[in-house]
Amino acid sequence: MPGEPLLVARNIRKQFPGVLALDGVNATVRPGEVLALVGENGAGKSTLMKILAGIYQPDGGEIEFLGRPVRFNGPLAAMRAGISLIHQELNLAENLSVQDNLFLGRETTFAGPLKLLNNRDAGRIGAGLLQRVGLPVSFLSKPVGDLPPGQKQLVEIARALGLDAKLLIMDEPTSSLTQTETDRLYEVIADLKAGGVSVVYISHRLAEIRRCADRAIVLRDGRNAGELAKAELTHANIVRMMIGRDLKQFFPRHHRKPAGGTVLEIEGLTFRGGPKYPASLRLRAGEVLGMAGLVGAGRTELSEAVFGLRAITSGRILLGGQPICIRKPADAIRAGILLAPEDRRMNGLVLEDGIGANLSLPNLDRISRFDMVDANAERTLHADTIARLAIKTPNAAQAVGLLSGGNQQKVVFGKWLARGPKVLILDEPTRGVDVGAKTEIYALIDELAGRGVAVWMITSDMEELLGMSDRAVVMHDGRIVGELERNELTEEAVMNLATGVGA
Amino acid sequence: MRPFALVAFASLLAALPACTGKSGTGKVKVAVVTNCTDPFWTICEAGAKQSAKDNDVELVFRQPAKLEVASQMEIVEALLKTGIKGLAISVINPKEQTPDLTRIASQVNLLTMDNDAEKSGRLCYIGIDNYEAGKEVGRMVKRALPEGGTVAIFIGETTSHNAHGRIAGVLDELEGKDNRADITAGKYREQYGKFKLHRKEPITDSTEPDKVLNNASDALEQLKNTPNVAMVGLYNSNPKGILESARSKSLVGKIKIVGFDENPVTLEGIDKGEIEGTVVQDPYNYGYESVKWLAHMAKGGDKKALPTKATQHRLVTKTGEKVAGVEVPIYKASEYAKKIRDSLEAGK
Amino acid sequence: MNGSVIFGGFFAGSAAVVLALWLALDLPLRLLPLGNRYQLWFASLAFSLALLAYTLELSRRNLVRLVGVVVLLAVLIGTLAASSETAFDRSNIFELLSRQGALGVITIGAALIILTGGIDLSIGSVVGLSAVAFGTLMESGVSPVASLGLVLALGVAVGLTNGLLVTQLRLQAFLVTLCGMFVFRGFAREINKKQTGLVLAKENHPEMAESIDGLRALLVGKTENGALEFPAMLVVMLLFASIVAVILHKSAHGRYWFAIGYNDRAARYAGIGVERQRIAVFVIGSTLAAFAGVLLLLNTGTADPTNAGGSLELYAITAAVLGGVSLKGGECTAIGLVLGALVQPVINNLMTFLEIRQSAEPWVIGLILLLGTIADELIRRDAFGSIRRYFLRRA
Repeated sequence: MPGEPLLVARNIRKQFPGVLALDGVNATVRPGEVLALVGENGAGKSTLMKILAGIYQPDGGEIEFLGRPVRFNGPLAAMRAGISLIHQELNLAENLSVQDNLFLGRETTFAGPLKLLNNRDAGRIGAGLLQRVGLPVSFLSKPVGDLPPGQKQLVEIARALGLDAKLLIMDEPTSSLTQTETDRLYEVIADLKAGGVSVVYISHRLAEIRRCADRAIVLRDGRNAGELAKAELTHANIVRMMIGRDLKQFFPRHHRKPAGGTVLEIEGLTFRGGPKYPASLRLRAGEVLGMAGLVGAGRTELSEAVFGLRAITSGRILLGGQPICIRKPADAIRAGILLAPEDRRMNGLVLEDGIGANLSLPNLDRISRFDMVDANAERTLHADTIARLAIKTPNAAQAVGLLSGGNQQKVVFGKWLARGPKVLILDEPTRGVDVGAKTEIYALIDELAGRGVAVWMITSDMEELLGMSDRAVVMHDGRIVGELERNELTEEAVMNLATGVGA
Repeated sequence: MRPFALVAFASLLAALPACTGKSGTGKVKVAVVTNCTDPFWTICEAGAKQSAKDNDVELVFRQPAKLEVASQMEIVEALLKTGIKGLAISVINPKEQTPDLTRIASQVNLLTMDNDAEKSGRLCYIGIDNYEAGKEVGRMVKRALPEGGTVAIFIGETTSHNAHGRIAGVLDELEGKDNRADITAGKYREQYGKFKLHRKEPITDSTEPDKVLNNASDALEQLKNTPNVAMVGLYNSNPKGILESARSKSLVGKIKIVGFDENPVTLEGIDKGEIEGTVVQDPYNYGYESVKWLAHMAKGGDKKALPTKATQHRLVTKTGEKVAGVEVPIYKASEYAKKIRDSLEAGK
Repeated sequence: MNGSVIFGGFFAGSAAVVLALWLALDLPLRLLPLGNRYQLWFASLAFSLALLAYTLELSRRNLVRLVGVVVLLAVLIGTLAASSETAFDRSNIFELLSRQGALGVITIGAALIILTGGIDLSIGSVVGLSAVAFGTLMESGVSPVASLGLVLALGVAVGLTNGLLVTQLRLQAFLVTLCGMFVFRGFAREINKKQTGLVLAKENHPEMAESIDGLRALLVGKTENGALEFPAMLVVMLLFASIVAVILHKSAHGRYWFAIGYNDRAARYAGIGVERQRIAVFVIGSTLAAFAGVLLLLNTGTADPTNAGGSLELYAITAAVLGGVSLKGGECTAIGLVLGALVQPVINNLMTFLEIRQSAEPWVIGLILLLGTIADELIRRDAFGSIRRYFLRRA
């Protein structure tokens, strides 16, 4: 490997109340390489990354950057030294324009005490940055809030590029990007490598890691679990090292039976704020219907309309052959159509509240009599759900916001299990969920389908779509453009439909 | 952090006695409670303090933050429990406070000042007759506009007994009536004798300073092309507000201003000839007399010595010369202003 | 959402409430000899305290939110006790508890609205309006209990208006209720140009004197001549607080409110009728404010349209926050509200007993409240340990 290491972290320790997050972790980053940081949620990836970026200070150990020992007392110091972090939760001021965001905190100004903004220089530099991440220059004046999540991510990356970073830390950079945007990101990363910039890359998508990383460091329970060179980066190797054992079957199909009769039928549905094309869809009992499409294709919107969150303007919904009227989520829930939303932190959970309170929330009608909550029934509900889903928590009072992504998603599922769903709509069920929890969620989906639940799974994860679906539909630009049976289901077929080539 | 919080509390409590007026002299303690917070009461407090010194008693002088019976009674109830021997109070709502005051009068020596509650069993009332004072204002308006004209009346509120008396006095005098029994608020007409009442009702400002000024300015804008306009300010801050907005619009002299109370700006305006005159109540003596008589009673004095008639209001004009038809004393504005300054000085 | 159903439902509901109140108040007034008021008070007191104890949720999070107000009250009451030997006389204690009751009623309403992520700035004006309306109705010969019912219906209407504007037109609660603050003050001044009061009502309608005095004795514990024989307003407040405690801590509705306050989107996705719950809370808040207006008139005997109840919303919000309510929504305990409502009466009482200089009074009150808030906040954070760690790292 060429040259001296860019960054060396030795024996890093970090203690949180009740948790030893990092216990003597070592890491080395060489100039111009892409290092993948892999591990389950809670393995310590985020903590290590935040220590490198100066957000946390380590309780022990040392960091050398460019050959000198460093100790950053904040993200600003790290940024000045040349380490930039691209956050998992986007850190942009939504109300400001793209240009303002690119230069936030380091505005180009004219000389003088007033610090008047030099918009011409900023525009010139900003245009260059946008070009590097493949966004049109005209975006400079757009408010960030108007951009889809994928483009926001690119703006964030452009901002880091503007800081002349020597080391870029990317936390799940592709979690909300479309395929084209992801491809563009790989090109950007390749450019950066060529320019001698190093990238620390964190992702749960093992396919991506195989594709772009030169090397991977695997963490488990706050310790180094091992290191894999490019040639060793196979799915099985990574997973074995991450969870310390072999995965029996990643996409289980133990319980699946041949699909039954039609449960849910959508006929020519249009809804307020939706596309003008009417949508039609059938869901059969006991099948997992995958729904693919690019970000912004209208998948989430359609599912929200069926769940009563968007006012239906024409068409009808039939459940078990009977037309039903869904005006609000309560109607859908009563009919047994349940939704686990895409943005679970925003829409699916009350983060400050306990696991128990979240599990009870949609089930209060079942566990209360005369509006008074039956404490025993509630305790039983909590204990049963936590046990059944193997939610890792000391007790039901634990605040949901403190759980890992996988456990949070299990709580979202748990809210609906007690109601005996007929149709379960899962919008990106494993986004931000670690590998171990992913397998558990897949097993659960399999089990539910085996019991006759019609599962409608919206996903942008190609492996997941191919692995889990019994049948798939693809949406493009607000329209359902194709339907693929399991035997027709290939990456190429899906991508052709999703990008509009096959239509 | 717990120590820090406790230290903060401890230092606060240590600081509290520094702000108290508690002297612990063992002298007889008497209290004066006003109806709200106002410069008027600052003058009154100066008189009360001087009187406490002269009559050798301890004084508690309290001004409720809001002109509201609830806040006033909260203070009174608490004071009664601190062992005061006498209470002078400016009544806010005579009729409705009478039962409470009757009960209080049975516990301590009670006298009313500034605003009376006749049937409360108070020992005596120290203050002017607001209806008569209102008529005095009305006479001033008539002298300023002998041909009649338009009158705009500004006042803090129209619900208190004092306000009723003053407004009714002004309007009755303009109409040439004398019907004290008819002090009914809420029913106003457009025409009173030769005078037209602007907006057909008094204009209120809840004694908020900016509203005082805005009300006057708005009325001036409406009336600036109308001949024979008089603007009457019946609360302490109103003449000041009218004068200031008239000055800012260069309308001084074009409209006639008639005032109430002894705001320094009002007195200065009279001295310059910008305001016709003002009817004053002498708050310094309200304070002085109240404490004097409370001390008198606390020391076992004779009830028969107490004053039985309302204090006379007075008139302040530019020259202080005798005016036909005015029976009350008339002061020269510059001299009256000096008198107040002196008494405030002495009170410190 | 179907507007007519909401309207119909709420009007039917409020009519039922008014009817129930009529029965609950009119019967005791007729049947109970005056001496038996004590039995009713003590029974209510026992009932509400038992309910409060039963619903007491001393989870770690709630406990932490209560420590601050308990410490603040302990310090203030300690200082009061030290200030004068008469401060702990029964009459002064009764006075304090009575004021706690008066403030507590509106504190509960304000807190519930804040809990669900709203705010109500119109409380003070609604108190004023209902006090004036209550007095004016009695002056014109409507019986006290009927007047009470009408005033409560007025409260329901106000809350319904606020709630519908906030949920159906999606207006900011701050602005809607700020406008309400002016509008209802104006209404108060329109319906009566004079100060209204019990004496006038009794003068106009001597036949009602007995029932007015009876209602006053029952609800505020004052005799005909205004002497406080029992802090009945505290009993009234505790009754409300205990009912609210059951709703908050034991019922499904309470859960909905907490969820809405923390994250109304998650609540919507869970199938909760967020709009309906919000409207209900606004109605409860305004109805309590209307009831507080009735108490205000019965207690002070008089209400002035221009200023009755002025700035009470700020005192109520302050009391709620002191009692552990988060202005961000989602945090509230019934017992905290009861305690929070005692702080300001004690401070005001303390001002008199310590004979604080007049000019110093406003800043002393402000500083006590500020220091109380700081201490509260620090204790709360300390419980999560972050402050201590900060200093350890510095060391």
